[in-house]
Amino acid sequence: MSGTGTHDAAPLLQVTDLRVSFGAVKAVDGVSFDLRPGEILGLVGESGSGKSTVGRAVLRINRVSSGSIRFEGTEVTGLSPHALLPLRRRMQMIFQDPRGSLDPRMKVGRLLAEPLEIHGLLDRQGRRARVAELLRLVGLAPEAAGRYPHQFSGGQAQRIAIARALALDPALIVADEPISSLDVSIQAQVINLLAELRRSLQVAMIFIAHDLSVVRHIADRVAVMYLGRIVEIADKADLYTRPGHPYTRSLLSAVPLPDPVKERQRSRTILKGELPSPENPPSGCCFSTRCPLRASLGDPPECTATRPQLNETGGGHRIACHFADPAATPASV
Amino acid sequence: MSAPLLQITDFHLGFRTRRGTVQAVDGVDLVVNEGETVGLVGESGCGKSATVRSILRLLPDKVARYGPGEIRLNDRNVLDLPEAEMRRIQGGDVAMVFQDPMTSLNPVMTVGDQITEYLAAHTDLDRAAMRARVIELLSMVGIPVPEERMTWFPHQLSGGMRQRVMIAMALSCEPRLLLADEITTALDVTLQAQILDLLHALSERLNTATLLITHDLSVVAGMTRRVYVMYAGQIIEEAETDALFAAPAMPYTWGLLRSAPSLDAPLTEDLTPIEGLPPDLAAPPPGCRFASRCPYRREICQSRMPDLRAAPDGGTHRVRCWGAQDVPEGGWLIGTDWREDTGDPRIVADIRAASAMAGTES
Repeated sequence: MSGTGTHDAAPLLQVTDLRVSFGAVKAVDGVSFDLRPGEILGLVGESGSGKSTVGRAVLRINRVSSGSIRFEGTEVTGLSPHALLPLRRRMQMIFQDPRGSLDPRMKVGRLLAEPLEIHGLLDRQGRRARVAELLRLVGLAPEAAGRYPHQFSGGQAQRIAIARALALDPALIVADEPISSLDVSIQAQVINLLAELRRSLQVAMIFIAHDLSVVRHIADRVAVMYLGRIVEIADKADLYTRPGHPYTRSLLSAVPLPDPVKERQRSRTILKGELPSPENPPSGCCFSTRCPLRASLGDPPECTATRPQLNETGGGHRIACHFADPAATPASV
Repeated sequence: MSAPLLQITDFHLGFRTRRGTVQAVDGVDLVVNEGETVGLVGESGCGKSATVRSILRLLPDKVARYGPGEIRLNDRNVLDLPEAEMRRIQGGDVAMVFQDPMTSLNPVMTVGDQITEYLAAHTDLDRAAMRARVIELLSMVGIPVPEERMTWFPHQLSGGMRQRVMIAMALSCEPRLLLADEITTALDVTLQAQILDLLHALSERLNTATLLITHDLSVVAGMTRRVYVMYAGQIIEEAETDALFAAPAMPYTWGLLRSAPSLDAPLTEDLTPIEGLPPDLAAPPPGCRFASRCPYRREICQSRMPDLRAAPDGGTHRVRCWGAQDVPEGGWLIGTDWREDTGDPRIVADIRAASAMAGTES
């Protein structure tokens, strides 16, 4: 395993029974997980799964309805904005669209120095040196400091956004689909950069993505979300070789393979229908209305009667399904 | 043998900009035969969408300069056709589906009315027949309760449903050629799988030729028989799909295959990105357009542009690369294993250093 966090270390982040509602919509409906220092958790789900809301709630960008978020041992849900400030230094965010997150009127040097100024860190000289250091870390030349964001390509702008997120030496970065807006040939550059930064700086990450192939190379553990809940969470090797939840299996099966021969031979489970409205989620298991396993078992009543708990099946692999049996059914990608 | 349904020959397209003319498409040759599904793959800015839009002359007249070159549809050059004739072709013989259905649907018209408008323009059906046809089309693309959904407005439908409506509309006049431009890019993976499945089934059933434009090689793997790969305004490789994936010839194609995260790759493997950035098409380099990012480049690559020529494995496989062509001054990549050989690390270091500087010149 490439993760640098050990299973015994105190968690950096502990999220317990997190709920976030927007009016009648339960965007996040009882999510729990923890994150060890230096660990990368892939948070995967389709649009409307609540994955971004979890990331934003952890950083207190979204209001938390209930539940607990402990960061470095401190409960952050009740903190006032003022009390939150010192913690903000330790948690940063990277967004999907780097250009939208960088003020177009500021030169890159100012963009990178600004967080240091806000937190009163370093003198002018020190800040300049830090800016050069940050640019080097993300693979840009020191001269970049004198240019504006629009003078860079999308991939380079994302490098600048990453440098800004690193400025305050955070312990946690929430990266919300950081490569989705980039070209294929540039995506791998950014994934490798984040992996390298984790290795060299020991920064933990929540890497949010809409499909399972993207997080496969970078995450240590992966959590799969559906309709505001985590339906499966496991170490990466476990999740991809023995996916237990029928939704995880469908997600894996939906990703096309770059191999025409395998694509033709593949028997895919294509999910029918679309995500139900989060305003009116199905009773019992939230996936029951589209579940191929439930259908193949002849619609057992448990699926609609009781909400399945996220049960441990061994080695930290947890699955929220009444009928999941990971040992019996090896993955067929 | 009759002429192909679509034959693009040495097609050029320029965009007038403040910085001068940008040669977005630079000598593209592309053929689609009757009933065939063909992939056109490339990243943003490579000219794939501009090429496809040129087939229907959809680009704004103020900035687009078509030609030189030809785009022959049923053996007639569309670049010479009068406007009225073009409008008959759009939605008649040739239909197009775009990435974002919300911007191509009219937000203040019901879905049914929009398809009806389409039918009225291209067919002689009476009102009752048109209504029946709308219902038939909507149910063909898997929209439940079509009688009711046809009275809905686009915003009442989900993204996946809207894309189904777009496909229904595109197929309503039974086109001989469907242009599908990144139609699943905005959709989630499970919806992408549904839409691709639908497109595959329908094009087979209706014997519609399809040109599938995408940035994702995986999408063309299961959908097409032949593939063109574009880079910086040029076709850089074309092949039967199986041949392209089994033995890609051009280092850019290798890079695309290697850098994309795949569920198929060994779990531990690091990604091998394509280093560097694409060239500026307002001032393209004199040699191979990929040379600035190619870890296998030699002197000739930076000074002379390679032609699109037969690849060593023969057949219809063609490649624009000195290293992959069996010519006296080239051929150094023939027989190398692209999965193992990632090029000269010194060149890779040079490319990284150059792209660290990019954006810093004034």
